[in-house]
Amino acid sequence: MIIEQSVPVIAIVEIMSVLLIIFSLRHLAIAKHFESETDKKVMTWFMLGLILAGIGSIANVIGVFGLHSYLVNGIPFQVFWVLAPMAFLIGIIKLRKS
Amino acid sequence: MINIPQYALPSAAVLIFGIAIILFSMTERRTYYRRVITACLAMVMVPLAYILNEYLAYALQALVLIAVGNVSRDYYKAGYFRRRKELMEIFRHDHPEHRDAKKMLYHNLRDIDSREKMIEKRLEEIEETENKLREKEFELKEQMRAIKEEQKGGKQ
Repeated sequence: MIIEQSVPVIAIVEIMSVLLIIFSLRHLAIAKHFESETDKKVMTWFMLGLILAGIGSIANVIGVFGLHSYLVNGIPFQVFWVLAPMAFLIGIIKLRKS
Repeated sequence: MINIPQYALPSAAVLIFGIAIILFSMTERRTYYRRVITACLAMVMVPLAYILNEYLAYALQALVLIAVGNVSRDYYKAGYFRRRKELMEIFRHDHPEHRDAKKMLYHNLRDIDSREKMIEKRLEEIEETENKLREKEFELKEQMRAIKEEQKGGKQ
C-alpha cells in the first residue's frame, strides 16, 4: 500500500496533534482558574495526561524522521500514550473522591 | 462465504466506541468541565486501537484531539464571557474612573487576572501608606500637644 510507505502521514498527524495539545492546554490552563480547588486538581491531572500524550507524539515524530536522541532512543512512544490514560485515571479517582 | 479480515471487527468496534465517546463529549447539556474529561477519556481508545491497526490509531488520535481542542476552546470562551458579564455588572455605571476597568473587558482572562493582582497589590500599598500617614499624624499631634502643654507651663 502507498499509505504504509509514506512518512508524512504519520508526521502530519503527530505534528498536528502536538499543536492541538498545546492549543488545548493553553485554553484549559486559563479556564480552570474559575473552578473550585478540587476541580482544579482534577483538571491538572487531565492536563498532565495531555502533556504525556504530546511527549509521545514528539517522540514518534523524532522516531519517524530517524532523529533518535540519547533520551528517546529505546523508549517506544507508545509508553507515553499508555501513561497518559494513567494520569486520566488518577484524575477520575480524585473526581470520585470529591 | 464472505472473507472478513481478522482485525476488521475489533477495529470497527474500537472506532465506533471512540467516536461514540467523542459525540458524548459534545452533548450540550453537560458542563464544559465534564465534557473535557469525557473527551480526554476517549484518548484511552488510541493505544487500544494501535494494537489492532496503526493507521486506525492515528485516525482516532486526530479525532480525539480535535474534540479535546474544540471543547477546551468552548470551555475557555464560556469562562471568558461569564467573567465579562460579572465585570459588566460591577462597572455598569459609565463613570470616568471605570473606563480603564471597562477596557479590561476586551483583554484576555489571564491579562485580567494579572491586572487584578496588580490592582490588589497597589491597594495594599496605598493602605500601608495610609497607615504610615495615620501613625505620623498621631505622632505629630502628640508632639503638638506636648509643645502646647510646655507653652502653657511657661506662661504660668
